[in-house]
Amino acid sequence: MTTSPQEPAIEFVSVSKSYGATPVLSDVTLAIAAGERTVICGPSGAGKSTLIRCINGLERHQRGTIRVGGETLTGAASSLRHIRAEVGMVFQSFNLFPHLTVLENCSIAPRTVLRLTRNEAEERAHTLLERVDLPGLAGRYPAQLSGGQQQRVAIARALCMQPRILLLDEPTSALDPEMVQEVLDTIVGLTDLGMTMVCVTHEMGFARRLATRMLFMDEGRIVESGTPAELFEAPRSPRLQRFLGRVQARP
Amino acid sequence: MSVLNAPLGGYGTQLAEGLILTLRVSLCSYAIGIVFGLLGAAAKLSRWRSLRFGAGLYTTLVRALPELLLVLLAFFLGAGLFERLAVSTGLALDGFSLSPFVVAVVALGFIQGAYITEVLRAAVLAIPRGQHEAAKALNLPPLTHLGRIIAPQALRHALGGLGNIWLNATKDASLVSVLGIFSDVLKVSSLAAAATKRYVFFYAVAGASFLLLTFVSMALLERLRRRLMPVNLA
Amino acid sequence: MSFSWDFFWHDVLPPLLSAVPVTLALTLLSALGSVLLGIPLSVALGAAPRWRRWPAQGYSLLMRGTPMLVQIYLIYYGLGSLIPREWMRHSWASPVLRDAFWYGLTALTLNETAYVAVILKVGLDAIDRGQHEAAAALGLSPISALTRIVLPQALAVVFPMLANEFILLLKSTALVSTITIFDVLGTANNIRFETLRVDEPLVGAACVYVLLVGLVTLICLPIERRLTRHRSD
Repeated sequence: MTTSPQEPAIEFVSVSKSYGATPVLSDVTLAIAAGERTVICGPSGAGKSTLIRCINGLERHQRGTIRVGGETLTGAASSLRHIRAEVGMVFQSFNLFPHLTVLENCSIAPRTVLRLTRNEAEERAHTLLERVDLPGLAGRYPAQLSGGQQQRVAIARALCMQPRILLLDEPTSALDPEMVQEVLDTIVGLTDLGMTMVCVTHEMGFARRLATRMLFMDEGRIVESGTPAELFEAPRSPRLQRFLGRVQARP
Repeated sequence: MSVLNAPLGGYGTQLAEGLILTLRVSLCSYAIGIVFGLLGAAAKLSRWRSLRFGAGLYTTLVRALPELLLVLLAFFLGAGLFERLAVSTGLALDGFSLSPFVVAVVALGFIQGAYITEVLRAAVLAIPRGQHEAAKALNLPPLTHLGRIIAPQALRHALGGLGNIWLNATKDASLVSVLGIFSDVLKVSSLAAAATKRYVFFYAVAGASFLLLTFVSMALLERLRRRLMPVNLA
Repeated sequence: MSFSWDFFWHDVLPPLLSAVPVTLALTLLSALGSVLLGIPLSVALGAAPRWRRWPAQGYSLLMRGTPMLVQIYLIYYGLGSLIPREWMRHSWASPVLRDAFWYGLTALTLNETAYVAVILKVGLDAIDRGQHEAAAALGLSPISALTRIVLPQALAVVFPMLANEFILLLKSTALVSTITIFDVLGTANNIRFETLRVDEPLVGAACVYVLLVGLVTLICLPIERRLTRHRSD
């Protein structure tokens, strides 16, 4: 998957999806350039999670076209695997593998998918665990870690695949309040890697720090798009104004 | 019944009679199993350690031994022992002997009783403590407590397990074919197969007969479940 | 006829104990086979398309709805009658085709597969959907995801049920004594026929089976502990 500088990293063209009779995404069109950090916000049920889960094929869109890194998403298993090797994901409920140690969690995909040797994979894992500030926990099991630690391991695990695009689906929504900050700081600390990032979150202060671009979604549509400053200081649509009025900012 | 004879190589009537014998064995052994199970569960839940220990020994031993071996033990050892005991204590006249049907059915019932004990015990223990406390607070007499509070609720919890044990009972009934003197559906099938050399056919017929029993049982159990549990217990 | 301890110790127990390997071989081999076959069957039982699910459910119903004895006879006499006489006598496969052991093993394995698949399915269903998603998001192939992520967790969850099932399997192996296999019960019956003594062989067999079941139960305890060492509960 190689993208020329002009080609968007992620592209949606008139994408729609429904669960039965209920529309979840309605005619969504957007282009995210390589290196952009996009934060998607909006009320519950707006389709934010569905949108990013469509990017790596965890949800299948019904109409329209999705292109990731120039490659079109079809249902084919091989195209999915290509895309997933370059797209990493951090889940709301971490989804660490409980029967594997922290080190094994991070090294299993590099070893089986990228065919790294055990040493190479473990070296990479150690480097990234240091990056998320968890150097000594390689031998522990997820059940022995706090929620904040588990999520940081999940971030390291995704980074071990050296993805060009990182998706984050409400990474702090399942955490106890006192652990949210450490995870948000960790994510902001990744900006120097230059990855394209798409993050769904309710943390508005964090959105301001991280995002180069923000999207506000409601009822399956992108209602507003712009820089964080534009959305926070000068919201144009009444829906966004109402939404911002109800959301508190955390740095 | 003779209309069945033609497609079944002339054995239709015997097979049908064999199926009826299998059904009789299943029903009688299950009924005896319920008796053993009630006694066993009562013993396991009782205050006296000796009873609990005895019941524990019963269930552990029975569940550790192959059913076929238990049936053989009952037939060759148990029956004789019982007969000698009955005669020596004067309960029976000299020359008393149990009918093979009774021996087989009691043996199978003894086996099922061990499993039913466990099911009933778990069902009674599944009743929330609050039920007993409320009954005591209301000063309900013990028989009412047992009959109208414990029993109905335990039955609901036990239904699944009891149903499974019945399905096993219908299959275990096939063990009597090994004893040689019973013409159950499997024995008849074996004889027919050996006589006509149509092994696959007659054993398939035997299998189909048991499948029939299974399907009918499952349908009846489902109906029973729906009648006894119109509302799902929380 | 009173119980003869001398006969018991010298003429019953030794042959019975030397038949234990046969019983254990039948148990272990069919346990292994049923797990290997049970994995794809359990996946099929939970599959979304009907054409994959119905055959699996049909097989399961057939195996669990008919007595083990019927299945054993069907395979031994039925399959045996279908194999051409030439193959039986003069082919390279003769030792296998003429030995009742393999027929008994086949019947046991086919039957046990159905029960193991049901248990494995309980385990697979218990695994959080997020585990599948995380494995997929990391790019793991479906086979890798199954063997490295989902199945190990499922096995840990249902191990007690599997252990119990394999004890039932151990007891079921006694049924193959009806097709001339000299397992523990088969040997005991043989002693009965040859010596016309009934008490000692049957009691001896009972003792041996109780010992075997106790042994298997003891072995399963440390295995269960190792499989669940990652749990915090």
